[in-house]
Amino acid sequence: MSNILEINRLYVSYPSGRSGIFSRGSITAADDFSLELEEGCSLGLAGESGSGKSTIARAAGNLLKFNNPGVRISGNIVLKVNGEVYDYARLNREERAKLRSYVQFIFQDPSGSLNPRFNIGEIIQEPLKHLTSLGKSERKNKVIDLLELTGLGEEIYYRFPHELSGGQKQRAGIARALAAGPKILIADEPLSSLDVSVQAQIINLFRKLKNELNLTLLFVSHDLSVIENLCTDVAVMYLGKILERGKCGKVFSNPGHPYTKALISSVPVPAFSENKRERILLSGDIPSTLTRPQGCVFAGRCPEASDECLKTVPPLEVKENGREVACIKRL
Amino acid sequence: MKLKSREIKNTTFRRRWNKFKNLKRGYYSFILLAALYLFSFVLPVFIGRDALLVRYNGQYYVPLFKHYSAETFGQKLFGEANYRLLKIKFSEEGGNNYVLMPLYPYGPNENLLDETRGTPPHPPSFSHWLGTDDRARDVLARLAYGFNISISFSLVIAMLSFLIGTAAGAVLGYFGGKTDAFGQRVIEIWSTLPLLFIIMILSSVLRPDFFILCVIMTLFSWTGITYYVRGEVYREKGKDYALAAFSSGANGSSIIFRHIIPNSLTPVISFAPFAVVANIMSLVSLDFLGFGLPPPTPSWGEMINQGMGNLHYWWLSVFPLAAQFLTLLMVVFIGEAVRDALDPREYNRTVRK
Amino acid sequence: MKKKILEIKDLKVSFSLNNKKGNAVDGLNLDVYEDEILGLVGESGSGKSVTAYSVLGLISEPPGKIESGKIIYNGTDLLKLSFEELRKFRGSEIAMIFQEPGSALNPVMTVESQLAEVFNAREKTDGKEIYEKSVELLSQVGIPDAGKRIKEYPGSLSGGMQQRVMIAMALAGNPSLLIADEPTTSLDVTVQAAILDLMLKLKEQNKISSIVLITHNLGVVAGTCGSVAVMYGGKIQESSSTKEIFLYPLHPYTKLLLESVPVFGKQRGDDLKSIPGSVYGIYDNPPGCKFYGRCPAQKKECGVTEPPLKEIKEGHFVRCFLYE
Repeated sequence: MSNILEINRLYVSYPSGRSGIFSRGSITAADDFSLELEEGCSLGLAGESGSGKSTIARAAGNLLKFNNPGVRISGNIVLKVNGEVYDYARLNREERAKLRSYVQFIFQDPSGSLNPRFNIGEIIQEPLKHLTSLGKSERKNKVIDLLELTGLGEEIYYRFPHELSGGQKQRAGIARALAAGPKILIADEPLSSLDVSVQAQIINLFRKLKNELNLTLLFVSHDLSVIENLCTDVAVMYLGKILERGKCGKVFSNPGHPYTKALISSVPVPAFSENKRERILLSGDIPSTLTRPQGCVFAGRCPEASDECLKTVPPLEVKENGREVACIKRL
Repeated sequence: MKLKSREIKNTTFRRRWNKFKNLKRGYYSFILLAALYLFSFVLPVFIGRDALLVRYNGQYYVPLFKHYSAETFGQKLFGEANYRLLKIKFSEEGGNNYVLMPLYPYGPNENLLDETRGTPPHPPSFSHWLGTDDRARDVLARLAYGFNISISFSLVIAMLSFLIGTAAGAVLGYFGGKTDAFGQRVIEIWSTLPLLFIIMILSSVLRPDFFILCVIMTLFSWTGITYYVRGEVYREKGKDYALAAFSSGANGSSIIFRHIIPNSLTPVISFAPFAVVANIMSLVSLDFLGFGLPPPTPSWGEMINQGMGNLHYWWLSVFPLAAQFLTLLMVVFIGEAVRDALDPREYNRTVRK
Repeated sequence: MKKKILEIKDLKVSFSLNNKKGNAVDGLNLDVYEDEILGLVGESGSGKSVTAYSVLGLISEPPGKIESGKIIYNGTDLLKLSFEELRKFRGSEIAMIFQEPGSALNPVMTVESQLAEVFNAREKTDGKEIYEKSVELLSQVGIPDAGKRIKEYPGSLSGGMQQRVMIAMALAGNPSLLIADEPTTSLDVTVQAAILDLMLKLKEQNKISSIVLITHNLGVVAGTCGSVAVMYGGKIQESSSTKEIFLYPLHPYTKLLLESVPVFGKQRGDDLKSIPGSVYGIYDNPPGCKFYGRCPAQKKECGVTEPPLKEIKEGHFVRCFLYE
């Protein structure tokens, strides 16, 4: 299988505090970040808040340039669809529209991402309106198909977002993302504002759509159990860097990086066990991205860190079984 | 594909309107004020000097729409016919000629010296319900016509300045950065210009009429709303639905006009009634100071000024002040209701987890 | 037999909005025993937070109203107390921590002065003593460098640290019962693990007698609580020990809830069971069982009469007609 999306040495930083002439330094959200998405795979991007996973998702969706004054991006992102190559940094008008229809985004908060003054039909039509040349009645038919596909039913067409439940709203958000016929679906924490009983419905919907429409999925989540259930691959992020990546099965059953280990041990498991699970408790908090550590980004909290970890930046290297780990202790 | 073409109009506007309707005080004030304002456009039918219909020598005349000279009806007067005198004349003569007068047959600018006894101002009486002023003009008629002018004036200014203010605010909020910094400074400088002095200077150069006053007032009142719209647009732009529109391939103008502005109008709408209050007040103040509409326009400010000058004649100050007080009170009630109707808090507070 | 520290009997709390009225808590019975951590589990809209707010008298009236019921804490009915009497219970007997520590702390007061306020509300002691007590409390809840951190404002602390400060403030009054309303929902998993660990530790050290942990996260319950009560539609649907609930769940809702969450290390790539539909609002109040419309095991009678809460096994209560 070939790569559909390649992120190469991406560096993203936001100005901190006041923007403009009085800016005081910057926050680095992605630091020398590289990632490839194989066509048809589903990659879970895991990490805590502040790890930069949302920034990566937005960069991959070509959304960073909206409402991010002063954002600095370097490195390149390349999309390869049907033999055509789209370099994010060099797009003309036509290519940009094409890229939009190939790469679509699903947001964390379904209420916030639907315009409260549009009805669901109008909301789902938006990409069709801007990215295709369909006529009015064709658009309407397409929307009805999408409503069926996402399990909503056409009676939702004239409803307004506030009349729907959280799960229905997220389904509408997914329907909108599917409207323009994307190849890649990027979902940024699509479950975190939903009720437990609804999360399962949405996870199943993602799986169904991915298989039926042959999509590539980039799924950002802090919840490792969801990633394990839904995704084939996982990448664990910390402070704008990938610390470990590989097939879900391998990474989760035998984590290579100390951070992955700690993360896995903290996952709350909804099952009864007589003996208490051993949790690896990390000391301190995720450090502020204003003052980046010199060596390994995780060294400050790592239970296994040595002096060397504080000095050298460990590269993300292929270890046994095609898994990549960024840790000098795992050479 | 079949889809019932039944549209459920449960729009945000509909919900807010229903909530507004439940706020009785504001809702009834709105109904009353709107009715009075609409009524004031057909005022000449009810209050005015021109007859609705005259039958004279077998012919029908409608003086409401066309002016007739006094000679048309055989009156020995200069200029326009005086239909009140004509009515008396016809009824004294008997015969088929008649005059149908409005309910309250006095105009706002008419000097009634000839038809009243004693020196003006005249106290309220059966024929002049609220008395006459020092130029023997009917106070009720002037108040009624002044109402239309006050409300029209303030509505026009509110609409124009909100249009400009919203556009400017949206540009600043949406583009941000240097546009925002530069635009804000321009607006700050603009709003430091002293309104009163400029109006005084202008009114000494050109004779202010309704239109010119509207323009001048608009030029000075649009700045206030930009700050609110700017903030609101800035906030709305940060919401995910705007980003979702961007992600759907929408261009800048579509994001601004179709997505962001309709969601940023809450402060504009909730400020509108209070802006109307402010505009009524400023017209009154300008008229009071004598820089407003030219005489003999029936304006409330001019009437209050006259009341001040003739404190012994209580009806000259009490009625205009009362009319102004009641109007402003009603507008404030509307404003409160609009504000509450737009306030989503009641929903948020009760629907707890 | 353990002693009951809190007994909620037939509690009904209504909310009204736009001339509509609905019961957010609808005849709730709940016992909290001494020396236990009780997990109160439910989705949003199940009434779990409203229950907690009622215990502390924090329901704002209007729109809320406590219609009927009893909340008995160590023999005193809290609903019969005056505002002033209840105030003395808050903090010194029952304390509460909230979901968003960031918004529960005053951003313009230092940690020190916020803690001092809690102490001052109890007894008048001198400043030095309060300071020492505060620092001790903060180190107890695992804040490193407490002497320095106490001078800081909440804004400069991380979410996890803020929640620790909240817990310290809750402990300041030396309460016997701590009600934690989704204390870890807004925190990262690693921080969540640490906070839950802290709560377990505090209980083991007898700093606190009982904890009611309100959450929607079954994983949190499994690792922390000794007993569980599952809420749906303003009522307890099932309650028992954690072991019973997770190994032998009885109520269809509990079963579905357990099957619908992905369990780490299991069910890889399989479709999850899901509960059809969603929770309906409190204002439409259908007759019968609250879960009737979404239940896969529904019988005719379920839509007509509401099943009672019955003890099926010892200590295992369930509200369902399947078990009679």
